[in-house]
Amino acid sequence: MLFVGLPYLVNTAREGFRTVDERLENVSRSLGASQWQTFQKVSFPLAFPSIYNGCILAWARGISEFSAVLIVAYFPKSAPILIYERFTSFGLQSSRPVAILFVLVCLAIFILLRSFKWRKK
Amino acid sequence: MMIGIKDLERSWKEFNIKDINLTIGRGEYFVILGPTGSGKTLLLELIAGFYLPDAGEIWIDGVNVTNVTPEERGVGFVYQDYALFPHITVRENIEFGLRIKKLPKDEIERESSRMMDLLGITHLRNRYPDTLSGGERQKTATARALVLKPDLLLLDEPMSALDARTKSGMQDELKKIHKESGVTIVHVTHDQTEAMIMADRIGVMMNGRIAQVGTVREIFNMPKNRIIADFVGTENILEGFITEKTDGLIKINIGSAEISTLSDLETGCEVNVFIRPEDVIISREPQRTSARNNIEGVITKIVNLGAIVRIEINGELVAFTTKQSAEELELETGKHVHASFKSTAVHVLKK
Repeated sequence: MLFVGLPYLVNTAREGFRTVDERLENVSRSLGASQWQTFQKVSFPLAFPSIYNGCILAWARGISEFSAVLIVAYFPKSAPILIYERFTSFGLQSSRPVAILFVLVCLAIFILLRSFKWRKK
Repeated sequence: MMIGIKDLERSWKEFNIKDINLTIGRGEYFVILGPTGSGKTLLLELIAGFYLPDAGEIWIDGVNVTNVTPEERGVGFVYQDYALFPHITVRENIEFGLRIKKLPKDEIERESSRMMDLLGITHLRNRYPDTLSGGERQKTATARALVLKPDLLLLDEPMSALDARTKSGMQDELKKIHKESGVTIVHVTHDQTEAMIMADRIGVMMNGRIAQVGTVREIFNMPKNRIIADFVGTENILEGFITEKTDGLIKINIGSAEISTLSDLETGCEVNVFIRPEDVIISREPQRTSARNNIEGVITKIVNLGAIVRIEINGELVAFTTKQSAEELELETGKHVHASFKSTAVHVLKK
């Protein structure tokens, strides 16, 4: 799951850092901040919204991963695998509650993450 | 000496600066004047230490800082668009450097309040930069740099984004701060009027090189060559040759008239004659005093520039006069007038 999700995080974070104006970092240095302090106080906070978005994307991509997990890590069962297993063993009837629960939990987490971001702004 | 620059060289993207040698005194207000793309900002960034030079040395306050990091140079820097940290408030922007220094909390508060008071931005303390006007941003950026009490303040086109009124207020403010704090200021601009108002000395920068360094009077009245003269607004560049020389007083034939001035050039020498348009006075009758040169002619063009009027005589000599005096003299195209200027207003260079 990390394997498929990570590129989303890395790419959006990289874009985030790229949009931080180099001159802001220069000014920070001229105000006495070291490279590390500049990263902590200027570059990272400014790139944070992008990193945060990247995390949501990576999580969404990871949680929905099915085929790779099915092959290499059957146990402990992730939700998509549990749904698949119940579907193949007991049919649609018994897989439906798990699927609905899965969708609801994901939706709740997603809304929670987004609302946190909005409140921050 | 506050800054000493020796044979500085650096190329970066399309810019390339070379052979920079400059000495700037302690407490001086030094303006680097040059057209866009002449490498002014890059030079300033090199002094601040944001980039390292390819060759040459930079000395600040007697210390060779060529390879010293920007945070150890302790130089204040204000960028053209002010580069305020967008994610924190005005007060936090100003306190940024003080917090890095880990000063006690009450001292941080005292210093930032004092600085906001000084620049009249206390009411903006809790605002975010993107809600400020140009002038307010400028003041915040200046306060952020000055609160650390640097010995050296570098300003990159600090007024170019301001409207005319805010600009002149800010110019007064900066002059006051400079006078009171004794900070050495290096100010980069492409605006010759601003340079004239602000500078103790000016360094003209062109094509990545320092073309001339001098006082305001030297730069504007005695430009070293035609290109500098053109750039600093010496609109009258006449060509002629010296016909006579007695006791250092020369007479120059410019075709339509004769000009006399002081020079050490010799008879027969081909010269360029520079006269600033604001030094030329227009009158209806000739002014017969020995210290003045007179050129008689016909007005070929009048352009109204607002408070001043630009007058072209014989298509070669440009004069500025106030709108009021132009009206009093009833100046209009085709009218016969006399243009006069002091011999000391004439600058002669060998061609």
